[in-house]
Amino acid sequence: MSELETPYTFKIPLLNRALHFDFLRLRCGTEEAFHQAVVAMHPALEGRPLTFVAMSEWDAVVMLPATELYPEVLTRFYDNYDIDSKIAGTAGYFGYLWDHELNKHLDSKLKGFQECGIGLIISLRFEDWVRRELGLGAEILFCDWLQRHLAQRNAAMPPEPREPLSALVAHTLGWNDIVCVLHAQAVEDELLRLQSEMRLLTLRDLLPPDADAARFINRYDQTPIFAASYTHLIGGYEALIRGNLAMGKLAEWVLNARLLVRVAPALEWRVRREIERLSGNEVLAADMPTEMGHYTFSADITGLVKKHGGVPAMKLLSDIRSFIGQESATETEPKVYDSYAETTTA
Amino acid sequence: MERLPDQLRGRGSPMTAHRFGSVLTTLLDHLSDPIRSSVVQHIKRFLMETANISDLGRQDLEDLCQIAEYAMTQATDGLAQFQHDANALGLTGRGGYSRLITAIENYVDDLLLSFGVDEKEVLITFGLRLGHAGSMGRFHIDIPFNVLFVPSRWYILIHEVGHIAWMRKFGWMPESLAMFEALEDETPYEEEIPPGAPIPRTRLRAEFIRTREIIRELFPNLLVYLITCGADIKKFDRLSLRHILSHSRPGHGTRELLIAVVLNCVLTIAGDARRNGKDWMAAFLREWSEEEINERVKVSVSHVSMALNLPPSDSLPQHVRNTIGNKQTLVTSPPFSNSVGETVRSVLAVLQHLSKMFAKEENKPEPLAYALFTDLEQAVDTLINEQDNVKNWKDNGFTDWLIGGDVLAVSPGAHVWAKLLHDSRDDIKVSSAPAFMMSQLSTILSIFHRAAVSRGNRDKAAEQVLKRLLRLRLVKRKVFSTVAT
Repeated sequence: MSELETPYTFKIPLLNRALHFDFLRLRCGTEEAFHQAVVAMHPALEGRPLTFVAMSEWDAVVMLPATELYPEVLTRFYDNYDIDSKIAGTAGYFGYLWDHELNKHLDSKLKGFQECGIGLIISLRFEDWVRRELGLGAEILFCDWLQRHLAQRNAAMPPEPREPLSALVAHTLGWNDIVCVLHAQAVEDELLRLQSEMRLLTLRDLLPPDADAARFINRYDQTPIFAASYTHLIGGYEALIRGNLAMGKLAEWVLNARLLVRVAPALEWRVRREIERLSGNEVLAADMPTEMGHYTFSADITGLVKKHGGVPAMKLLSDIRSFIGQESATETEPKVYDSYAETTTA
Repeated sequence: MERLPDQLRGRGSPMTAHRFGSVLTTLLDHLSDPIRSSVVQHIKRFLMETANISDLGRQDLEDLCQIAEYAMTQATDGLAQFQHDANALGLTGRGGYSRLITAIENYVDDLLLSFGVDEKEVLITFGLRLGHAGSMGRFHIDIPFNVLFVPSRWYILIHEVGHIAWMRKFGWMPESLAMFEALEDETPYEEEIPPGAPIPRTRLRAEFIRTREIIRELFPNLLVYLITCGADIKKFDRLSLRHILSHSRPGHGTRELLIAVVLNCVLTIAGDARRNGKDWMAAFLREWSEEEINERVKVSVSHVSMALNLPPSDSLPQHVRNTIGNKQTLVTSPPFSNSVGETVRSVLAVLQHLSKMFAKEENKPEPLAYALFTDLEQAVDTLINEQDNVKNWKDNGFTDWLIGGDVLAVSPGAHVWAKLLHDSRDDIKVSSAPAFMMSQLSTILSIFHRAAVSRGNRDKAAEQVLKRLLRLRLVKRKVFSTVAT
């Protein structure tokens, strides 16, 4: 009997759920209306896309658990004028998941991620040799590693909250081999540590403790397995709108935080002065460097991030976007918001 | 926009619906922006005059997406330096599909290798050629996006590989001379047509072109019939009539219907010859009596008519049912049967000419064409015989593995996948939406894994990776509950 007659399969099957990730640029000032339009799609949380604030080049992340590729709800989402008119740009990908312990309770985990705490979405691409030497096995090895790692970290922490660190791991049919959604409650500083460890993982780290790494792939056991990564800091939308989205202990680790702004020339100085006012004169309009590239100017908001777990910085971000939106929207009703103006936090 | 999701439901694949929605959304987004709107007005006019969704078939929708996306990219090219956040279009802006490309390239390379084509001669493109489920050009094989995401339809690639394999073996031969001679015998010159005969000149020209087209398509369809359909002509009929069954427009499909009946007839002859043993390809090219041909044409007409029978529970709209009913009436009409008979005779006459070119005369050196023809027959036989290696998979729940999300750590070749997936397609289609998604992902990832770990010396490299994965306890052997006899 040949090997093909009784086939080998991976030790765990795929999960019968998938996750669509879409990253959105929102038109400044439309955040609240956007979130309300998404909520109006479906009264219950189940069945509607979950929206998160993104602190990166994007403004929002949509996560949609799905039971088919390109589900109808995604078409409904983008064919809804109340939502679409708030969007200035989109990109995204479809992610599949293994039926791994790490991905259990998908819906309740996502709901929890949205309700409290902050998180990271880390997209990672393997080095070519990892795919060549382990194929899809590398994805399962990564899930096993993260499961072990989180269990150890959580065990070393106070009993409440029960699971301060949790994660979901998806994989795409495109460029990203791993898409890890990491969430922290009360131990936000752990996110940064985990992200660093993850980005520098070697094969030796990844293999189970009882495996002899050198025996498997000699040449590579000390080489980092990831060729590239891309990280977004995410938080719940309603907390941002209410003005109480906090970075918690992660704020203590921020050495430098900048708010990058792009606005029409006529609006530039009004926005600078408004940032000065909103920051309680902590960030002065004249101290905001002019940017020569994509953005118009930037503001150093490190001081605001370090106060009260970053709440003042988040509030500034929310308020200045509303200000820009109001100043650049059309005067006619319903207002059409400009897609040119944008902000990025770095 | 409010009505769009309802209008798109059930029209083509969900992916195409999403893609179409994205195209319209992007266009609206451009139109609502003071800078971008000025460059896309012509697309708005085009879509307003063209895109009546209720009139669009599955392929139309896909084609329209392609044209609109291309035109929009062209129109907004250069805006990126001012507005890098312009809406990403379609799939390319949604994280890409590089793993699908890897998997599908592996699938095609696998087949080409079986026919001795080991150079990388073609790339696979998606949605470049409109109006076809699959097509091939000088440097590429093109399939639409709605085939790309559904591996059970990748048998289309077997067809396209058939073209490449045939051209590779016999492209050097002066095929046109022999064929044209045979076709000339079959089609009378204008002066030979008696005065007042009811055969217009245009019809002669049409038959000439049609016969040539069928000859060109014969070997690729033979591969699909033998490899994908396991020489089951009923299964092949369903595939060759698929576009007729899914099209909603009454004017479409008459030409394809005639080709479908002729293929049914000629492929059945080929299948019978193969069942009779060695040298079957040469046997099937032999001369057939008028009586045999007439009998086979009758059977083929009846087969194709039955294949057009729709189950009463099928959810097709009434106008599509009417169109298909009209096709059934047409296929059983005497003039249509006569036309099929004429075409089959023309095709077989040309095949006889081919058989002379492929023949080996006694006590003479083996001609190159004979050797190549024998190679081709052996390659086809090898592919079919290898399918036997996994014939017990289906009895042991292959469909359940796929819809249960099992990913194979040692994936079989494309010819094995093609038959297994085709045999399981009905079961997978009637299963739930998550099950269908799982079957898509399981197959794509199994083939992707094989492609990722194979490299040049594919079997050896994959074997080493398997050993490694076994030691790491990342894979397991499937336990069969029953043993097939």
